[in-house]
Amino acid sequence: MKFVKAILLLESGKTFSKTTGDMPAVLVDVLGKTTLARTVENLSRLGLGDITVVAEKPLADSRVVRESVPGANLLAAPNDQLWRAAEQQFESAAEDSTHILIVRLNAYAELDFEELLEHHRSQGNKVTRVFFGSPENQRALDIFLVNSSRRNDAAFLLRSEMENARTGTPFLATAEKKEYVNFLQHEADLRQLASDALHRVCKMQPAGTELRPGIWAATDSHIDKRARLVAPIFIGSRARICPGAVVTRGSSIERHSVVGNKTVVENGTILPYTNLGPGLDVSHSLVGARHIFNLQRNVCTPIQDPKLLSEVPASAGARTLFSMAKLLIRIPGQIWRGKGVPAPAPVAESTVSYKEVFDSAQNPQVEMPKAPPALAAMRRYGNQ
Amino acid sequence: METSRPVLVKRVPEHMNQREAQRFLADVRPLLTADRPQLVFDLSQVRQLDVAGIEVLMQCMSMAMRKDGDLKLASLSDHAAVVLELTRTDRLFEIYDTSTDAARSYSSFLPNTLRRQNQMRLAA
Repeated sequence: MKFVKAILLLESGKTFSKTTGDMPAVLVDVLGKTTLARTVENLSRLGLGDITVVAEKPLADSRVVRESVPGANLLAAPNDQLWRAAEQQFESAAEDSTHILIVRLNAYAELDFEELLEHHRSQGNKVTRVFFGSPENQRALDIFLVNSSRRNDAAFLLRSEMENARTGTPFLATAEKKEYVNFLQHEADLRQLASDALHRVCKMQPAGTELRPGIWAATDSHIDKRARLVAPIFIGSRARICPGAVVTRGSSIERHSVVGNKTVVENGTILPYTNLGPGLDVSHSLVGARHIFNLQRNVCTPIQDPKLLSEVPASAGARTLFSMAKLLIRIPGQIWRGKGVPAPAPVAESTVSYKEVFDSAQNPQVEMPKAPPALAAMRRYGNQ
Repeated sequence: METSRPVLVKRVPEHMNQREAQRFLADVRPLLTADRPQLVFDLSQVRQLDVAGIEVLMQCMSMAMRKDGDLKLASLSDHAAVVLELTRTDRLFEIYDTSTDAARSYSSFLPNTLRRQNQMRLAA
């Protein structure tokens, strides 16, 4: 594979999801790393001659892209000149290589590239496009293997933004051959990718160590002893799991996220820098950027109340200041406790203060028969 | 079992934040102090439901129950449904697809779920 080079194209395009801000899907962390970083790693492992990521300038300048492409060349294309820059890159890469792999980064693919190369050669193709699925139901991927000598074909492909190509016999990747593709077109795809990796459907490895079978955590994550973790799950770097929290069913808590006291995360992805309040129930959801996407309802909604959902500052300085402010607020409480004065109220275990609600609803003027103590239990038979 | 008492349907405002929630509570308080109030809150317009809003809903339910009445929710907007589920308060309320269904439910003795189970049992 030494004489094969790769050009990866990263375009800003339209926003993937409100939960991910303005990031393209490939720049969203999945089990601790972006899919861009994983694609570069997978290609590097094959021993390709050279890997170049061509990105639009605002993306190329972003920290997440720079951190995601170690071992690859990063080329910033001027605005609206991505395809032109890719064409130029093809021409320079073609000088000392036999084949060039052109990948538009809009999906995550684990392919047998050696078999792809073999197929390309045996079929005598000039350009080979990769498809995924079964022979009856296949879907095109924006992955092309092009002969270095076919500059015109490459130019035709890139100038049409991969809409048109003079391709030969296509290469069909299938799940039977242990190849895996996730098209990353919907929030559900992102959740599916994390779930598939944790359930070992694909070869993606969580970025951490396996503390217990199926429980992956970064070494610098903070997990309280009273938290309950049920495999398979992933806890990212500097993520914090508070006492009484439950993380279960293939959930992924990405870096710097916080899961509050007694909050349950079930089959959910908590995206980086997300702070979940106490006593919440996050099921079948993707949470980030003050939005929650519920996969069962297929609904994305903003959460304005910081008691429920807030953002952790992305810069280390801001985080330090935030932590110091929290510490300063706690100090008077500690001093009072030392003087024998009753301590301030403990950390909230639920965002909704049930006791206050029911106490304030009491009407002292009316004498009521004693209600059964388990009001909540009585209501439980409501609409379930 | 039929009842002749009226069922009041009240539309919950679009933004149920601290200020709006208190205003809403002041609006509905007279309804809740009546004898055996039967209320339905229509949440179809809700675009912002904060913790303060949820607390007011629960307070209303508690007040209604203390007067031997009840409060049911209907036509939940997507946002309201997600937030109620997120805060685990959806299980405390009877929730109906439409205000009509919720109002109609007051005229039957059995909760809907039990009635549905009975119907299914009879059908089987």
